[in-house]
Amino acid sequence: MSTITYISNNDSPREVRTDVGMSVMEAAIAHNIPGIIGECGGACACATCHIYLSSEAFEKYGSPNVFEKDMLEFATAEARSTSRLGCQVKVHPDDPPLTVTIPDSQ
Amino acid sequence: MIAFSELPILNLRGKEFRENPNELHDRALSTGRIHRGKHGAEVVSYKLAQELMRDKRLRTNQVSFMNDMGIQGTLTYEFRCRMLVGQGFTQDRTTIRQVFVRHLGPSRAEEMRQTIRVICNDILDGLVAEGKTRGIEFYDDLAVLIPSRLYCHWVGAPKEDAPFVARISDQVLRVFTRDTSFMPSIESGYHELFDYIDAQIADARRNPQDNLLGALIAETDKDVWTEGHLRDFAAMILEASTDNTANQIAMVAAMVLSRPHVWEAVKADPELVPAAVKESIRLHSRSVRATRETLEPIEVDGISIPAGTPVSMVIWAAHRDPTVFPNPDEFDLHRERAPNIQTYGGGVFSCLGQFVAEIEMEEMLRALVERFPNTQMETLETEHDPFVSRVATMKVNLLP
Repeated sequence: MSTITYISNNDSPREVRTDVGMSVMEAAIAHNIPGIIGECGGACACATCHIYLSSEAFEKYGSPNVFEKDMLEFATAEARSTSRLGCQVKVHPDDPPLTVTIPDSQ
Repeated sequence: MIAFSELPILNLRGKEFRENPNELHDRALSTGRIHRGKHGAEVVSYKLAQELMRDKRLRTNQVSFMNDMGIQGTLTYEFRCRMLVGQGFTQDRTTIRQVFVRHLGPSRAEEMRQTIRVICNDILDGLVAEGKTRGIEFYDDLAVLIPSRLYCHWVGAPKEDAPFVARISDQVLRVFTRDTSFMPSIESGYHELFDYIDAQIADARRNPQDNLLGALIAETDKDVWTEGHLRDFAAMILEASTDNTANQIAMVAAMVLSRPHVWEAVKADPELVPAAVKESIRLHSRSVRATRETLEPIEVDGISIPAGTPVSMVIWAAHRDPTVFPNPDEFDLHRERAPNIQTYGGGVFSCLGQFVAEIEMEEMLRALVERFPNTQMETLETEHDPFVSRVATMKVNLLP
């Protein structure tokens, strides 16, 4: 088990434990975290699970591939240098705790 | 700016489509990204189709095509209007999709892999026990049993219900042919389907089980969604997960078995199974088109398209778009930077069962490779309409 903390401007921080190989999007939906929608189900096809990582986390989980970058252009909120789609960030049980920031809109 | 109505009509659904779709689509791709067809806009470019499938100025045209069929007031019409593809961009729709993500999302689907593996092997064991390994009808004897048995597992039904599940799915999904002559059969199919679902839900409430239906009932009990949602979407899973997946399972096997070099490569390295599945779907997708309609006027490539125009994403053309898939006729197990296939649609109307469906295809192919490495396909006939493709006959010898 690892933990993900979700931070947003609209709610207090929420920490959840994640199962093996669960994405940041799936963990959010499983725990009813507001602000992450995941409309396409995790297929990198809708940009409604946009998140911001810290620089350190971005380095650990890597840059988005070309298709994810393309999809991030359609995100409602501003895409930043550490933007990722939550469905493409898989958290493994031995990963250190991860903190993600949810944009104001999806 | 050119008005859409001024474009010449290019018929992508006529005789040539039936007889030689690849040449037709290649020609369409070489002359433009979007064309005016007899039934609205026809998008052939992969990238444009991807853009429009996630553009919220378009929605699915489910209700429009049923209105055109004149089937208002039927159970079929009312049910399909309540489905996700019948709805607009509502909160209700998002709530429903999130329930599906929780129970059928990528990691949950992966957890089902072992169950699917057992089902595939059990079906093969049954064929061996019956001495029925030569000249099997791949669709009826194998492919359709995988999703229908999985559905039985999900709702706690005996595996003997699988033929019923398969028959009902095939019967009701004929609505997508837009052929009204099927309507009496489709309507009676939905009545049977709902009787079956009501019985399964009642049984699951009497004898709670740790399965998908139990999880969906728990969502109902927590007021995440309603009793009506539970009934509708337990039915929707049956209709959507069986016939579509079974046909695609058979087409994946056909694409691989018809290319000895691919079959040999997958046998030599079963790690190539997922790539073989993706490439097979690209070459022969169950879905031929994904359909939308414009909610407001839009402009595409200097063409102004009015509100209310049907827009079809021609998946069969997009999967041959050489700007995205170089050498599109080639079955390439090592395609670099290959984007998502469009079989499952795109954007917020993407198929939520896609993760489970691909695992079913992978496990079927893996079981064949491991247990019947000398399998041969004797015959293959497929048929297609403008919306879906299906296996007409596919005879296979399962050889160890």
